[in-house]
Amino acid sequence: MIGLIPGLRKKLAVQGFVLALVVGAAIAVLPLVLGRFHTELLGTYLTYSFVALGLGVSFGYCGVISLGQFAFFGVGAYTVALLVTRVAGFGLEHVPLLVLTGTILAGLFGFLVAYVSFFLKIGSLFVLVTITVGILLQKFTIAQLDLLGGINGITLPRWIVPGPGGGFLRILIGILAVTFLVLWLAVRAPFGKVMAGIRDAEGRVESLGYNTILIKSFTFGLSAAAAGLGGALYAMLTGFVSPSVFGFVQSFNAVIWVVVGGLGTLVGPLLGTVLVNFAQFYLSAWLLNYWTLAVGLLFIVAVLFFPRGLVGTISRPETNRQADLTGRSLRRGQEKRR
Amino acid sequence: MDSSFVLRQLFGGLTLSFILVLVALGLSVIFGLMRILNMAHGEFFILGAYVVVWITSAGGNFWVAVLAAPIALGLAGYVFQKGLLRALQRDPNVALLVTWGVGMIVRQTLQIIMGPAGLYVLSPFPGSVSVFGMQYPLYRVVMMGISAGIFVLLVFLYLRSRFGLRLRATIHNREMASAIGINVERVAATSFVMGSSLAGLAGALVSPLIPVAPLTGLTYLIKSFFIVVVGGAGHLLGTLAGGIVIGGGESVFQFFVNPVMAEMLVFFMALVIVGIRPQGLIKV
Amino acid sequence: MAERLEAESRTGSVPCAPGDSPVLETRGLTRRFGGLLAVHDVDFQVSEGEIRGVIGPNGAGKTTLFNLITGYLKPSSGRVFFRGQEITGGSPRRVARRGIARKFQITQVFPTLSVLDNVVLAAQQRRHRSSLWLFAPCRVRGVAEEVLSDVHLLEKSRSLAGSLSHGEQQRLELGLVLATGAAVLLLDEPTAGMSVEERAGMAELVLSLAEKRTLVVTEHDFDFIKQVATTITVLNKGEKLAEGTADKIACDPRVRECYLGREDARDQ
Repeated sequence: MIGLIPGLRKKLAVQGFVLALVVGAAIAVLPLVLGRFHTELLGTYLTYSFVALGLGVSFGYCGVISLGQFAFFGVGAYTVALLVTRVAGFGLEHVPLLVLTGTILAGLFGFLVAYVSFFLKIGSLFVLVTITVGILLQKFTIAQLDLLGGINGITLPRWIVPGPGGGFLRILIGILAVTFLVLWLAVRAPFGKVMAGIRDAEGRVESLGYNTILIKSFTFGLSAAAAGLGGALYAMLTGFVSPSVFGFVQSFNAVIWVVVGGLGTLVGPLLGTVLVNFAQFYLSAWLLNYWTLAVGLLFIVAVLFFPRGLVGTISRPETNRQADLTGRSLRRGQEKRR
Repeated sequence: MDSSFVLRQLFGGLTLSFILVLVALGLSVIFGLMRILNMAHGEFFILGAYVVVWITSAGGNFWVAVLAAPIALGLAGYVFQKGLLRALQRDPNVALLVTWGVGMIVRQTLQIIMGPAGLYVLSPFPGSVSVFGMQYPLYRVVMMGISAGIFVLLVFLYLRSRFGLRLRATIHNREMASAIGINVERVAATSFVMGSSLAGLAGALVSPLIPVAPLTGLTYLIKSFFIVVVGGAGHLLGTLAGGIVIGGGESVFQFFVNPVMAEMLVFFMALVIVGIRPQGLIKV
Repeated sequence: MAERLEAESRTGSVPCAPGDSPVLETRGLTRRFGGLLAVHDVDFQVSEGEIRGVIGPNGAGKTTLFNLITGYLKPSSGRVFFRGQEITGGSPRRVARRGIARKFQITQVFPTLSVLDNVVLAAQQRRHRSSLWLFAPCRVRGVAEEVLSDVHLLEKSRSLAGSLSHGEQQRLELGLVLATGAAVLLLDEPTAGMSVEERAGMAELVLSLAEKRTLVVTEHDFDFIKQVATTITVLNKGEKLAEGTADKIACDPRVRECYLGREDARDQ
C-alpha cells in the first residue's frame, strides 16, 4: 500500500530515514536504559514481532489470511531446542546455523502447506487449514512425551551474548532490522506488485500469465520463515520451549497486532506487536480478565473503523474511509458504477 | 478388542456425529448462501449448552431449557446477522475477522462470568437401556432419536416447503433467484437465524454429555467447517455425508492410533477428499 | 484444401488466402452445458494482423468462444490452434504466456495500485520465464508509459486505478492487455457501458492498435464493429451463421433475421 500509492515516495524516504535513525538509536541506547527484566520482556516481544512482520506481508500485501502463524514460530523454536539438546555436535556456538535451520524449516513447511492447499483449490478456506495446522502441531507435541518433551517442554541453555547487559537485545534488533529490510525490498520489487495484484484480483493476475499458486505459496513461505526466525531466537533467548509456543491463542493475537498496528504496512505490525503486548503486560494486572475483552473490542473497532491501523491512521487518516482492510471497497465502487 | 467395546465406541462416535451434523447444518447453509465463514458459530452452539446450565442450575426443567435455547440463540442470530451483513458488504475477510472478534469476546465473557472450567449438567434420563444386547446410556439414545428426528424434519422443510424451495434456488444461483423475485436478503437472514438456533439446540441437547466450557465452541466450529467443506456446502445431504465421513473417520481411526494421530489422519483425509472433489462430496 | 472450400460454401466465410496459416484457429469447437450447446462445431480462422469482429445476439456463444480459446473452459470437443500449435484445453495462464491476451468484459483492474503500476504489472510478466525473476529490478517502466500514452491515460498514471471512471477503466484494461505484448488480443465487448463519444474514441484506439497485432473483438454494437473490423463473424445459438465484410453481413438475410431482424419485427 504505502509505496504503491503515488505521491508518497518522498514521504517514504523521509520515514525510512527516520526509522533507520530510530533503530540505530534503539540498538545503542535501549539495553543500557532498560533494566534486565524489561530488556528480556522487550526481547520476547521482539521475537513475536517477526511473526507479525511475516503476517503483515502475507496478509497485508498478498491478502492471504492466516490464523495459525505461531505454528511456524513453534517449528523454529523446537528445531533449535531439539538440535541443541538432542543432536550431538550442535551447541550454542553454532548460533547462525541454528537460526538458519529453524528459519528454513519453518519456511519450507509453510510453503508446503500453502502450496498443497492452493493447488487443491482451497481458496477462502485456507484460513481453516492454518488454524488446524497450529492446533494439530500443538496437540502432536503434547502427545510426544519422549521425542518432543510433551507438555513439559524442552529446556535448553540460554544464549549469553558477551558485552554489556542486554547484548542479546542489540543483536535481536539488528536481525529484526535486516529481516525488515529484506521484506521491504521484496515488497518494493516487482514481486510486491504481483502480491498486491493478487490481493486485489487474483484471477486477473493469473490471466496475465502469472503462476499465482506459486507466488502465494512463496509469500506464505516467506511469512512462515519470518515466524520461524522469531521462534528460533525466542528459544535461545528464553531457554525454554513448550507446546504453548504453538499457541493457537497467540496466532489469533498476531492478527490483532497486525491489524491494530497497520495492515498493509511493514512498520505497523512491528509497532502493533510491541504496543499491544506491553499494554497487555501492564494493563492486565489491573484489568485482569477484562483485558482480553477490551482487546477483542478494540480489534473489532479497528477492523470496522480503522482498517489502516495505527500507522495508517497517523500517516493517512483519510484512507480509513476510502479503502478498508484489503482495499476491496475501492473495487466495490468500481462495480457499482456499471 | 471385544465387540461390545467396538460397538460402544461406534455409538459414542455416532452420537457426537449427529450433534456435529446439526451444528454444521447452519454453517453449511450460510456458507453455501453467502460464502461467509461465521467464526462465531461455535459460540452459538456452546451458548445453547450454557442456557441449559443456567436454567437447570436455577431449578428449571431440562426440557424447558432445551426449548428455550434455540429461541434465545435464534434471536441472538437475528441481531448478529443484522450487524454482520453490513460488515459483509465490504469484504469476506472483514466478515471473517469481525465474526471471529465477536467469538473471542463471547468466549472471554463466558470465561469471566462462568469460569474457565467445564460445567456439568445432569442427565435428564439417567440409567441405561439395552441396545443390541449392550447397556447404553438412555439419554444418548434419546438424544440420537431427537437429532435424527430434527434432521428428517429439516430435510422435509428443505425439499418440500416453499421456503426450502426459495433457499435452494438462492443457493444454486443467487442472481437468478433475485431476478425472479426471491428476496435474497430475507432468505439469507432467515437461514442465518435458523442456523444459529439449530446450533443452540444442538448445544442444549449435548449439554449432559460434555463438560460445558467456554472454549468448547471452537472445537465444534472447526469440526463443523471440515464437515461442510468435505460434504459440500449448501446441501443438507452433503452435510450428512460430511458428518459421516469426518465423525465416522475419526472414530474409525481411533481404533488404530492415538486420538491426536486420528485427528491428523482425518485432516489429511479431508484434504485429499477436497482435492479430488473441490465442491465437496455432494454437489449442490 | 478441399475441406476449407466445403466449409466456405456452407457458411459463406471469407477464406484466408491460400498458403496463409491463420494465427488463431478453432476446428469443430464445441462446448456443452448439460443439454445446452453453447458453442457448436465452430470453425474459426483469424489471419495475422487482421481485426476480426464477432457479433451475435445475447447467448450466441461469443463469450463462451473466448472462454474456450483462453482456457477458462475446456471444450467438449474440437481443437484450438495458435500459430499452428495446438493449445486446446490449456490453462488460462499458459494460453496467456503463449501470446493470447484477453480483455474482459467486466473490468478487472487492480484498484489499490496506481494506473502506472497496473500496467507495469502486466508488462513485467513477459520479461520473466519463471517467477523467481520477480526479485530482480525490472525495467518495464518505459514500456508501461508508452502503453499508457497509447490508451490516452498517461496523465492519470499516478492515480489509483480504483478512482478512475468506468470508461477510463476500460481503457486501462486495454492497456493491460497491450502491455503483455501479446500478438493476439481478444477484446470482449470493449465498449460496454460507454457513452457515444467514448465509443468513437474507443474505435479510434482499437484501429490504432491493430498495426502490429491481431485483434478479435466481440460486440453488441454493430456500428462500432463496422468501423473497426475488416471481417465479421456472426454467431447465433452457438453456431457460426455467417462470415464476411460488414456490408455482406448487413445484407445477409439470415443475419438480419436472427440479429438485426428483431428490430424490423418490432417496427411492424
